Amino acid sequence: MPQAISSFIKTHGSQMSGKSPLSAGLSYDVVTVGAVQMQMELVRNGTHYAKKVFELTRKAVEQGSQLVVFPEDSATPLLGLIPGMEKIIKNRDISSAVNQLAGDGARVADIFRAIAPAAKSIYVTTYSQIAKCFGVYIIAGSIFLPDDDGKVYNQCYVFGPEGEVVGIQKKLNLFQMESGWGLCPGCKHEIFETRVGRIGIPICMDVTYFETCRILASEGVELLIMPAANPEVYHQWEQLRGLWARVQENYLYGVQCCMVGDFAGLQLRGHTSFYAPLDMTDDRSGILKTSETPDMEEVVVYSLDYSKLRKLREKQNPFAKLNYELFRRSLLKAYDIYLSKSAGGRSVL
Amino acid sequence: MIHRPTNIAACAIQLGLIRPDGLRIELSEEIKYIKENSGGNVDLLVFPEYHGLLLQLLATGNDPRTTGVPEILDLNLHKKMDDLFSFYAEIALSLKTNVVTGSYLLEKKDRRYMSVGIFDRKGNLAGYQNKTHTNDFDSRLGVSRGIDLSVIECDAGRIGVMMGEDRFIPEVSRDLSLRGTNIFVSPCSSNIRMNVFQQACGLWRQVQSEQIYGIESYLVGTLLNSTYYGSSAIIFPVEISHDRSGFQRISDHAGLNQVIREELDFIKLQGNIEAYPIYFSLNFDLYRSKLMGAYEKLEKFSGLD
Repeated sequence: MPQAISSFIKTHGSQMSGKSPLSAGLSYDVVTVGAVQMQMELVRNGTHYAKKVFELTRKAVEQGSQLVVFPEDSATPLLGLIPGMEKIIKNRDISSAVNQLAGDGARVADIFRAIAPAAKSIYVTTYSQIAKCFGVYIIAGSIFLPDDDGKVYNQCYVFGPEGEVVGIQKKLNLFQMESGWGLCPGCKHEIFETRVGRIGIPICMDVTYFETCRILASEGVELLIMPAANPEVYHQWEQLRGLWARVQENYLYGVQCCMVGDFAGLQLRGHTSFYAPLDMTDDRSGILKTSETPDMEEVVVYSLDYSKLRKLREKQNPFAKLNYELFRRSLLKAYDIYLSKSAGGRSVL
Repeated sequence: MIHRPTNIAACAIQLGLIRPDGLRIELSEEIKYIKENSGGNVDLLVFPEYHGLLLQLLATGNDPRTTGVPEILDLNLHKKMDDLFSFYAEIALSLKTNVVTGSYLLEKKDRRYMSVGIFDRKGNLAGYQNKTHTNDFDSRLGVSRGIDLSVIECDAGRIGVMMGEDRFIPEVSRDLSLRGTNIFVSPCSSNIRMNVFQQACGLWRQVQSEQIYGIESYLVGTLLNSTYYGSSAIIFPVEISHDRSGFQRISDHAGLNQVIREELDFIKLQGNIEAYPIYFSLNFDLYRSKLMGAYEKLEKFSGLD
């Protein structure tokens, strides 16, 4: 399978000019990012998957992208490798489909564990070869994979322009549904030092919590990339309470990249968007660019100027006036108070 | 144990104490205005930032529109507490409601703070909170930052006060919420005319993060040579707000006197938390191990170490 994928990419990639967007002339200060709002649909085989990813990347690169981003669950289409999966999942939610496949008591994590060798091979070969072919960085959305400890994590791989794996970020805060699927949360904020910026990758639910992005900001991150797959009808203000809010708190750039489509009883919706601090947008909305629809496949491209962000941060350091003494005295105590009282669940009554 | 209803009526008082002609609004007029515009039977009233400071200044006989900060420093406003507390206690008693005061100058152990108090229906002070993130104006008044947060209980709810700039700080809202707050109140002010996105960076953002109710009350008019604007609002988690914006009720008289009222249903709030249990997914262990180190780095980055 990897050979077939490499062969496909080699054939179609040879039609490209051969000049990487990261060649001489790249100004580290200005980076063009292509965010792929991807349609969730099962694939028949690895080559089918690679073709889809190749075409989407090509669209981004043709518009000047040096960094191409894919959404959360970008590897879930590989469930199509399982014979009959398309039929099974047609009128079922994913947990019922898994039970149909593997019996009662089976969880989603078990299925991904079973297909992991093939899925990982296809995922890594595809994105690695395509990154190398176009000479760009790719943040490859996410895949459910077991680690050496046998636990299954929602993991996002980052590939460099030579096709190398730059690093892997695990999702740190799981949606309740994901915990029910048998996934485990990660325990580390990875920092990706690249020629297109110092990047942090909070995956979907991770941006719900200010703590994630505060920690990333403390590590010098200037760009937050958020692969997302939101199983809810789109509402503007629901979306803005996530990455947009974290961007305003920490004066960073943010790119939210959404998986869309109807799949296994879920309506995946969201506007792939580029965010900046309010003062960097003419209408003071903090929204630089957004996709045309919340439910169709498209590629959204925008150039981010780090020098403008740095100028703003020199003028208005968002961290200079924080009350660190208060946080040290009080915040972890508040964690303890909550944990000691919340055994029966949280109550606001 | 305080008995609390599962439904309360709350009001944000968008107010300045000064008429356009510079004459103060009398207490009786203010009570009348609130009574007539609050819809009756209110459980919680929230006054704006610096409303208490205005009262302290008026007690000295000075014109609060034009008195400058240097002159104020000589007036020992932090000692003018009697009239201030009588005013809010009187409002609490006559309207039979809990009152979140506007912020005022308080002195404690030789330090000055910008403080907000909560009076219960009997006119007793139930608790107070000092501002933890002060601005340049506060600093010129010699105000120190508070270094504690507390949840103040009354029969309307468990109140977390985030006055002024505190409303922009997610650490403050997280702390108060984890300690059991079910209503954020924000006496606040703004020298600029904000758009909805600028406003959303404040209390709106914290309400969404912590899934509880929020009431923000803006000072309007002129104080100490500055003009204040703002649209007071009562904010819900987006899932239970009528148009999913989270701005359940918002002033349509930005910059002018108005009373905003809304019913807060705690059973509905609880239902929303059970449907979307954000704290279930919060990786407490990870953040416990990483946050303080992050703050050290941010202090260094800001040259504060």
